[in-house]
Amino acid sequence: MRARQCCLLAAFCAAAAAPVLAQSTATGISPEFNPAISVNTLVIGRVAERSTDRAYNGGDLQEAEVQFTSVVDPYWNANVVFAVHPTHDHAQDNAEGGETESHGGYEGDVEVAYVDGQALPGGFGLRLGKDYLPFGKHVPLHTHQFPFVDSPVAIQACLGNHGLTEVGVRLSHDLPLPWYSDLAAYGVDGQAEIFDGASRDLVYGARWTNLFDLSLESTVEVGGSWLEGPLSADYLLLDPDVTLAGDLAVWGADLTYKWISASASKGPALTMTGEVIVPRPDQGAQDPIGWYALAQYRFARNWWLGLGAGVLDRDLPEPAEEEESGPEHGGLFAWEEVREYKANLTWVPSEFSAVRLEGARFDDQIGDNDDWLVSLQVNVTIGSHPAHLY
Amino acid sequence: MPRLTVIAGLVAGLVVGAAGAAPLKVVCTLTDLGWLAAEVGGEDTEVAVLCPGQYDPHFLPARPSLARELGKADLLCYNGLELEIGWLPALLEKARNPRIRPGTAGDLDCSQALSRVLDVPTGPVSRAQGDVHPLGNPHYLLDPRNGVLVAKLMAARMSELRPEAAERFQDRANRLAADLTPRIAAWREAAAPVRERPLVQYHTQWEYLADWLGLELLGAVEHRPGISPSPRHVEELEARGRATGVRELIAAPWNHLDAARKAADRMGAVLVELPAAVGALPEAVDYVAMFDLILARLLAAAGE
Ligand SMILES: [Zn+2]
Repeated sequence: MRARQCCLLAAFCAAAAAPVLAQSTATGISPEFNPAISVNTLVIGRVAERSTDRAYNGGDLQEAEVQFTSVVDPYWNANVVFAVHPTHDHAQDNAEGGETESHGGYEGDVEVAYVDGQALPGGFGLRLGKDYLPFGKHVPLHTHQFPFVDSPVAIQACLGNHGLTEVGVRLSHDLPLPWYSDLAAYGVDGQAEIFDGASRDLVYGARWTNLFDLSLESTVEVGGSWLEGPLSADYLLLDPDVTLAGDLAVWGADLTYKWISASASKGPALTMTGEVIVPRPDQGAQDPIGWYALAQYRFARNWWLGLGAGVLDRDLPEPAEEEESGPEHGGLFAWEEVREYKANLTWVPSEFSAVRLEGARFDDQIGDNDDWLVSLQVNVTIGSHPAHLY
Repeated sequence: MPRLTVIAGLVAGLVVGAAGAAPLKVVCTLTDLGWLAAEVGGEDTEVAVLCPGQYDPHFLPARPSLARELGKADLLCYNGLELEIGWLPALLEKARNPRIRPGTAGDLDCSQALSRVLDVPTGPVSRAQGDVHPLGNPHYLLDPRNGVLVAKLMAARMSELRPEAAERFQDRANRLAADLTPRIAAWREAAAPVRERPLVQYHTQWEYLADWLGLELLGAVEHRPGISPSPRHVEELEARGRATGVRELIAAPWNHLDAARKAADRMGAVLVELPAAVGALPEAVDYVAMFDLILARLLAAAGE
């Protein structure tokens, strides 16, 4: 979804190339060194037929994001993103199809606030501050860059509903191999819901990205990710009666094929991604595994078609006879496998707006009522020009 | 003659080797800039280009391998005027190369060579006008006089980075100017039959060419840059084209040629595909061949 991918690094170049405006050195007040600013809003309307909750029906502001980017000095570039989204209602979080958007107002968050070192020897990259963890292909995406309106079920369950953004240090290097090969390692203070925020242990991990140019128009990316940190007490909702402790290790692998035709600007383009996530918590022998696969195809200048499927699977222990139909063990906790199927059509009239209609079906293998979710999402960016992420 | 060049190259190589200086690694965003940099830099430089000639430079996919190329650069030459805004900042960020950071000697915005930027918005700009270039029309390399100016700017910057080769950079830039200047006059003279014929363009990309050759551009199909043309605008343009007797609609190979051809048909004109960059069409092997081909195609369309 190149055209709507927005903003990360829009404009330090533009700032450098901006014409010199009238200066006011006498007052010391000048707009010249203002950071590049962009604002993204995601408005969503949904109609749902779901067995577990009804709060999905209606419209909401899915997210509003304000981004500031600038060169700091000869040593750093900075990027700060403030995000506002509906107040999360953790009690209703649910393994399928996204968090429940409660209508109880909005909460703000510093989603991203980091500096990138610019003068490190040996081509090392250093990032200090708060940022998305580089785990797989989906976790680092901002909500407005998602290929579907919600994260895959596998990501939500294994890596959290609310974005894996953490404060810490990341060091990366382009390995001296014949292809593009970037190795990043990080240590962060794990505050996300999948970690035990009270623990003093750090979360650390690594990501290895390899990108092969097949031709001018196509590439294959192969990535591997790993992280380890203190396990949250209710990770994966393994069992509501047990408080988990110990460590959580999560492994991931991803494969992406990308083809962008050179024949015409905004011509045909295809992206196919598959990602597997394997969490290994110290406690809980259910061996969870999640994966998703998706394809996005630009079939006309302003139109994208998306198809996706995903699975979240685990081995549940044999339930005790008398508990089998207990109400507290129905719905959220009883699933053994959740499947999702999604399709969307996106109209992208410019690089600054997109309208998406999406249908999703969830099947948790419990009872016979499949859950349906139809969403209409409007994605708008104003301000500095978005950079196209590859 | 070729043998002489080889010997000259070897000698130059030896001189460079003796001085102990590795060739200056120059990365250019566009093929036109790459050709100019190679002409000016000669054996003292190694030149790489990010955007292949057949890609629309507004929308180059930012493959990470390109960031690796940037990571090795001593000098980055880019078009500027926000032409590369969609992909160069992201690549620079990935490249982590302090030698080409904005504001350093390794960062060369080639639009600084221009004496005049066309289409600089005079009123307030807004994206209601599409993805407008707020600093002015960036397609200045389609006027070869600007190519000469850029070559001189490159020579100056290369000299700053490799003072020991300064004389050679200046010499090559002067030789290039001496070679291009008579061609520029000849091309302009050859364009006389085209001057009487108003043209319609697809994207607002040919203003500098028109300004140089004295061509009349009646309008653009894609009147709001980066936005699909509205049917009403196209109808109006077609009507105006018919009324004015437009016979040619010019477009770059990466434009939406089906839409361009349809519009041309309806105004009774033909679609003329022109190389908007070195390498945009197979025959446009270098900057000189590109203008040869532009002129040849315009003249052929005009029946000359
Ligand atoms: Zn343009």
